[in-house]
Amino acid sequence: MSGYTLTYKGHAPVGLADGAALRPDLLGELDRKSLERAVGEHFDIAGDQGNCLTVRNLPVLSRLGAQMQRGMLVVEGNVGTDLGASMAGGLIRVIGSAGDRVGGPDRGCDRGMTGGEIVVQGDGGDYAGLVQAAGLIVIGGKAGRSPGYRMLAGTIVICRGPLDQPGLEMRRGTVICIDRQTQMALGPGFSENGTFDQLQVVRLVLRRVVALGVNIENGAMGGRFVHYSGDRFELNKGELLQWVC
Amino acid sequence: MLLHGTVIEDEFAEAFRMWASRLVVTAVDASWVGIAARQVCGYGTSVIGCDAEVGLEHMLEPAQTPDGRPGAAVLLFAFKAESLSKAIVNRTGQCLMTCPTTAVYDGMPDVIEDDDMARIDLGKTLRFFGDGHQRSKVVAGRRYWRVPVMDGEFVVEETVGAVKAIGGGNLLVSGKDQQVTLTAAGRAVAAMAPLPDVVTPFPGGIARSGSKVGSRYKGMFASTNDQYCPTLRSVSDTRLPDGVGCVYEIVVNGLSEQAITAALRAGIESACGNNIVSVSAGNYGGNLGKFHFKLHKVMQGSVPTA
Repeated sequence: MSGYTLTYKGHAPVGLADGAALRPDLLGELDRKSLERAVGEHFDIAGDQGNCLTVRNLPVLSRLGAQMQRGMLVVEGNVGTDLGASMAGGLIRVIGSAGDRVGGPDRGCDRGMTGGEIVVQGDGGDYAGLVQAAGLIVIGGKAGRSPGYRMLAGTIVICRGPLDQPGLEMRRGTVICIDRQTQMALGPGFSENGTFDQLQVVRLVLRRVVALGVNIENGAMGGRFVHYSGDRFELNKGELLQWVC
Repeated sequence: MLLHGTVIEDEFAEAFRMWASRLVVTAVDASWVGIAARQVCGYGTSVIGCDAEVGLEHMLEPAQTPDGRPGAAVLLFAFKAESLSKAIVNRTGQCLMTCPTTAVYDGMPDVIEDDDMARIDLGKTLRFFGDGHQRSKVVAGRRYWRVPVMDGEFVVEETVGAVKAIGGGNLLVSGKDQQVTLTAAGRAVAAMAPLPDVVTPFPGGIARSGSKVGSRYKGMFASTNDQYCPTLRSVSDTRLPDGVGCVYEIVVNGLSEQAITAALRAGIESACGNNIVSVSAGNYGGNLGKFHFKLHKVMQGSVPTA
């Protein structure tokens, strides 16, 4: 996948209020001169026009990929809060950890991400997938408090626990934990349905996670998962799945 | 033209425009995949009397299926996209949703709506079996419906692609007797089986009741092809060469002319041999079907032998 690589020069730490402008669908389609006019003050530019935008050496910025529509944003390093806020499409890959509200709502929006995929290879902060309406969030490490809080739909995959009240007040959607050893502190609105193997939806999601370049433990793909429904204080159409064996 | 002592007649197979879809069916193991595939292919020989012509294209390894389980690719053909849609929904609902552990996916995910292609609602229709408990999940841009069933969930893709295709490519294998002709026809079907984009929808890929258009009886659209029936040799306008005691037809449906041509050629090359008097093809004078597969042209490149 072709595109520009932007390396932050690092001498103007106050030059960027947040990372919302660093989007492949905004910058990737600019010609080189236009891109230099737009961000040349802060970034060294390499590569060519394309639908992939790679950013390096950034300070920890919030709102990276906010309201992104398409393309692929690769961030090398840690990112701040509101990664992919209200994004509608495309792929964000963070080679590092992320702050709170991954895939949550952007300023002025009442919904989190409505499409696309976010892969955080490290840890995620609190409330990943806050009011998420669609799309896939993969947290390669641990998640903070209540991933999937007030989730509307979509999927969150968390590779390491513990999980603190996942899916609290969710209406629909799926939170999958593939850490067998972990403890999951459930909210009161969740009930266990039993342990199941051969849940094809888990296979479909985890195969996608692997295709996105995330390593998952052997056995998770065809493993047995505990299935919980909730949150019964909301629509009760959400689900939590935890790999057990 | 002669091949291995068998005459390849200067005839053509007359084939028709059809619509086709490919379903990818998965299950917990190869045994249940086979059961599911047999069920969905059942009563799917000819649109003369069936809702669709259906055949197993090939079995799939776990790595080739969306959910990583063993699977099968099944091709379904009908004259119109609307009738294909109805057949796919009914067959999936009755033959696959009922079958333990199965899931059904679109085998043509790149197909988009245009003049030559269509999207058929599948899970979008079948989801209502869930009686309000159904849920959907979008993974990598494809929407799957999850219908709760008594062994867990039946996962079915929301829509499946359909493309314009060709039905009715055929070979007529004529031999000395039933045993030798059946063996030769079986060789031909086996040679076609590994080829992509084609199916042979009749039992074992072989039809014994080849038909002609029309009948002396009202309401019959097709009737026995008496010119090829050996027991009518002396009472009909027979087209059987001397020494022929049996004829089998192999009908080939495919997604393209190239795919059918390759299948016919593989079939002819395998069928020819000792005690196989001739290989011919069925047609209606060229007036009914848009596609004419001339056997000599199909065999171009094959060295004629005495």
